[in-house]
Amino acid sequence: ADVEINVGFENAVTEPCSIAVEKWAELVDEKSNGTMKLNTFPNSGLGKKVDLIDQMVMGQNVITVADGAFLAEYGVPDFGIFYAPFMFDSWDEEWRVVDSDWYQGLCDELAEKGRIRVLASNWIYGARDILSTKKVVLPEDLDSLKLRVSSNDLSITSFTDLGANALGMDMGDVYQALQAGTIDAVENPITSLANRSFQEVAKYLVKDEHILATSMWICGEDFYSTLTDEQKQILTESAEEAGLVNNDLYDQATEEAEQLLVDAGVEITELTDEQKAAWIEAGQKFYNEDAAGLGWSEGLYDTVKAAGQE
Amino acid sequence: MKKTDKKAMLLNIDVVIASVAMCALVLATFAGVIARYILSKPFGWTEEVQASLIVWVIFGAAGAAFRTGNHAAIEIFYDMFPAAIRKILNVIILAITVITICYLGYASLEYLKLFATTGRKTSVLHWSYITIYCIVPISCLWQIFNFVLTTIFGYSEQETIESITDEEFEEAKKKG
Amino acid sequence: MKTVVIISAICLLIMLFMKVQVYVAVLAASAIYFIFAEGTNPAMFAQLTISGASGISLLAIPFFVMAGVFMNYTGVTRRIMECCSVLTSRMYGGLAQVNILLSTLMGGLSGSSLADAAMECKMLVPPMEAEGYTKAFSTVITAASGMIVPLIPPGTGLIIYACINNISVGKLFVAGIGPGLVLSVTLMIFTRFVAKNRGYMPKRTEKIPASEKIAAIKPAILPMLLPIIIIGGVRIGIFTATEAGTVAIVYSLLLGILYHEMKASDFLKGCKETVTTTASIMMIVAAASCFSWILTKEQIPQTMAAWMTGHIANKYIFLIICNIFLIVVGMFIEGNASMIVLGPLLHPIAVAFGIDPIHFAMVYIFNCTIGAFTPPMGTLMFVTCGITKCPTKEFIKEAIPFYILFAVDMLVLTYFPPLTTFLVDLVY
Ligand code: NA
Ligand code: NA
Repeated sequence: ADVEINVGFENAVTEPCSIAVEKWAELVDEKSNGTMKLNTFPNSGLGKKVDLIDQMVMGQNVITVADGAFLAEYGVPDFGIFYAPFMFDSWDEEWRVVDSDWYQGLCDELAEKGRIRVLASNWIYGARDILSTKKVVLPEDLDSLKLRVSSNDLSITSFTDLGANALGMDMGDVYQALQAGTIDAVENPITSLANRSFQEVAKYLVKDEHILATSMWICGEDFYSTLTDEQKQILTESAEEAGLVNNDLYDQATEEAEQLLVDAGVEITELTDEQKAAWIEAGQKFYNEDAAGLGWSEGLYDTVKAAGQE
Repeated sequence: MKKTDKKAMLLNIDVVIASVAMCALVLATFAGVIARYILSKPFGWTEEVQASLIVWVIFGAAGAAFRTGNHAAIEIFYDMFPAAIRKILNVIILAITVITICYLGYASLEYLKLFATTGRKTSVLHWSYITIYCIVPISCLWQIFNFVLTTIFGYSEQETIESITDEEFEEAKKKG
Repeated sequence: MKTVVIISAICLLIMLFMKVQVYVAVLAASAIYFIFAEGTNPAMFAQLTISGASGISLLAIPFFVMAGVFMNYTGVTRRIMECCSVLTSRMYGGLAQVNILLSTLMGGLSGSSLADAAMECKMLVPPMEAEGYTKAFSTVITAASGMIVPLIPPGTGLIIYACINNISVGKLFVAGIGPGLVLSVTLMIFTRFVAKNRGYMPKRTEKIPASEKIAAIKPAILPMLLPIIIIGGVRIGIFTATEAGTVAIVYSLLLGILYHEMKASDFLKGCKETVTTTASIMMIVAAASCFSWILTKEQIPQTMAAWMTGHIANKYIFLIICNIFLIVVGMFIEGNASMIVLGPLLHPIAVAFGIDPIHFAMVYIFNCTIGAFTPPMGTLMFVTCGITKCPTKEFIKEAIPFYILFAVDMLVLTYFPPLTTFLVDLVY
C-alpha cells in the first residue's frame, strides 16, 4: 500500500469499537483499491492515548480515538463540553451539534492550535453510568462516595461539583479497589464496566447517563496534510460509515452487558423523570461555578444548546 | 575533611535530587491514602504527581547507579576473551555507551521542543511538561560523565549491602 | 519483516554478550531502529523511553525497593531473620524456604515479580549470604520465587489478561491459586534437595525448646506484623497494593525510631541505595518497553503468531508450540506488553481448539514469566543480578536446575487442566 496508517486504541477486540475499526480498515482498503492500509492495534498495544497524540503531533502516521475531555487539553478547551455532565438530552441532539458549523469551527481551531485533525465524531462510546458498592439513586447519595473517574481536571471538577469524592486511579487497580472497598464506585458505559468484570465486585448500577459519551477519531494535522484530497475523503468517509456500524453494534452490546450485570446480581436503577431532573439540577453547579475556570468560551453552554436545536 | 570526601559530596548531588524526589513520592502517595481513607477527601492530583516525580527519581539517579555499580551487564562471553581483545572490547563498549546516551539526550531535547511548541501542561495541576522532563537531557550528560569516571578512572562508591548481624558486630569489636 | 528490525535485534544480542550495560544495549538497539527506519522521529525514542519509565502501574517497584532497604537499616529485617533462623534451624535450606514462602504470601500484592524480587534481594539475600548460602544461589532462589508472584491473586497480570480477553477477573483469580501453590511447593521441595546436596544443612538436630522459640519470636513480633498489616490493609481496602509499599516504608521507619537503630546517616544511605537501585531497574524496564514497542509496531510477534497458528492442526501441538513461542517472546518482551499484543491473537485460537480459556490464560502468564528468568533478555535475571551484584554467569549456572524444574511445572500446568480449572469449577 502507498499509505499505511497505524490505528491505536484502548478497547479489547471483543468490544463493538474494535469490530467497527476492523470494518473501517476494510472499507479504506476497498475504496482505495488497496493503496491505503490501516494497521490496527487494540488494547493500547501501540501505546497510551497521550503518547499516541504526542506522536501524531510529531508528524507520525498514527490515528487514535479521544473524547472531549482529552481534546480540551490540546489548545481548545471548549471540546470539554462533550464530557460535561448532563449536557445533552439525547444522542440526536448531540449529532446535530456535531453536524453544526460551530463544531466544524471547533475542529478547525484544533487543527490549527493543537495540530490535530478530527476525522470522525459520530461514534458512540456509550452512556456513562455509575456502578457502586453502595446503592445510589439520587445525587445526594454521592455524598462521601469515593468515585473513580478519568484522571483529568474536567472529570474531577465536575464530579466533585456533583457531590462525589472524585479521584483518579489506574483502571487496572479498580477491580481490586472496589473489591476491597478502597473506592466505592466507578463510572463508565455499561459495556466497559462489564468488560472489566466489575459487576463481580460492585452490585449497584444507576443509569443516570451523566455523559452521552462519543468518540472522536483523530490524526496529526501534519500527516493529514500529506494526503491527497481523495485519500482524505476515503479516510473520513469510511470512518463515518464504520461509525454507523459501531453504533448499531453498541445497542446490542449494551443489552448483552446489561444481562451480564443482571446475571451477576447487580441491582439496576432506572431513573424516573423526576429523579433524572434532580441529577440534571445537581449538574448545573458545575456550569455555573467551575466551568469558567476550565478556559471555556463565554456562553459556551448556550452556544452548544443552540447548535443542538432542530 | 579529606579531598576525596569533598569530591564524593559534590558528585552525590544527583543522589540528593533523586532522594528528595523519592521521599516526596512516598509522602504524596502516603498522604493520598490518609486523605482518601481517613479524611474521605481524596486528592485529584496524586497520579500526576507520582508520574512526574518518578521521572526525577529514575533519571536523577541513573548516573549515580554507575558509581555504585548497579547497572547490570552480561559478562559470560566477555570473560572468555583474552586480555588483548578485552581491551579492544572496552573501547567499543565505551563508544557504544557514550553514543547511545548522547542520542537519548539529543532525542529528549527534541521531545522537549514538542512541549515548547504545544505548551502542553498536566491536566490537574497544570505543571509544564518541560519542567518535568528537563531532567532527562541533563541526566544523559551526567550519565556519560559518571560512566567515563567509573570505567576509565575506576572510580566507585561501594555501598554496603550486607546488613551486619550482631555476632559479626561483636566479632568486629573484639578485633578492634 | 523490515531489515532494520532484524539488524537492531542482532545488534542487541551482540551488545548484550559484549558486556555492554543491559539498559544501554537495549537503548542502543532501539536507537538503531529510530535512526535508520523510515518515517520515525528521534523525539519518539525519547518519548517511549520516558513513558516506559514513568508508568503509574510500575510504582510498586520503587516503593517495595525502599521498603526492603529501610527494613534492613531499621533492624526490622534482622529481627525477622533471627526469628526465622531459629524456627527453620532444623530444616534443610531454612532461609531459602522463607524466601519462597514470603513470595507466595506477599505475591499477589506487589503484583509484579520485579517488585517482589527487588525487595527480597535487598532484604533476604544479605542474611542468606551471612548464613553461608552462595550469592548466586540466594539470587537465583529470590528470582525463581518471584515467578510465583504473577500467578497469585490479585496480581495485575491476571487482571490485564482478563480484560483483554473478556473473561471473568474473579475466575482468573481463583484459577491462579492452584498453579501458584504448585510452583511454590515444587520450588520448596526442590530447594530442600539442592540444599541437602550443597550442605546447607540444618544447623540444629535436636528439638528446639519452646523457651528458645519464644525468646526468638518476641522481638520479631512487631516486625512480623508488617506483612499482616500490608496484606490486611489491602484486603480491607485501606490502601491499594501499590500504596502498600509506602505503608511498609513508614512502618519500618517508625520501628527504626522505636528501636533507636535509625540514624540520620542511615536514612541518607538508605535513600541513596533506594534511588540507585530504582534507577538501574527502571532504566532496564524503560529501555525494554521501547524495544517492545518497536517489535509490536513492526507487527513481528503478530506475524509470527499468525504463521505459527496457520500451520497447526492439533490442540496438543498448539499448546507445546505456544509454550516455546511464549517463552521466547517472554525473553524479549515484558510480560504485560506481550499479553496485550499476543493475547487477543492466541486466545481465540486456543478457544477454537477447545482449550478452556481460563486454563490457557494461566499457561500464557506462566510462560511469559519463565521468559523473564531466561537469558539473553530476562528482566527478572538482570534486576536481581544488578541488585545483589551477582555475575550473570554464576546466576545462569545456578539457574540451570531451576529451568528444568520450571519446564516440568510448565508441562504439568499445560497438560493437566484441572490444576487450574478444578478450583474455579468448585467456586463458580
Ligand atoms: Na522470594
Ligand atoms: Na523479558
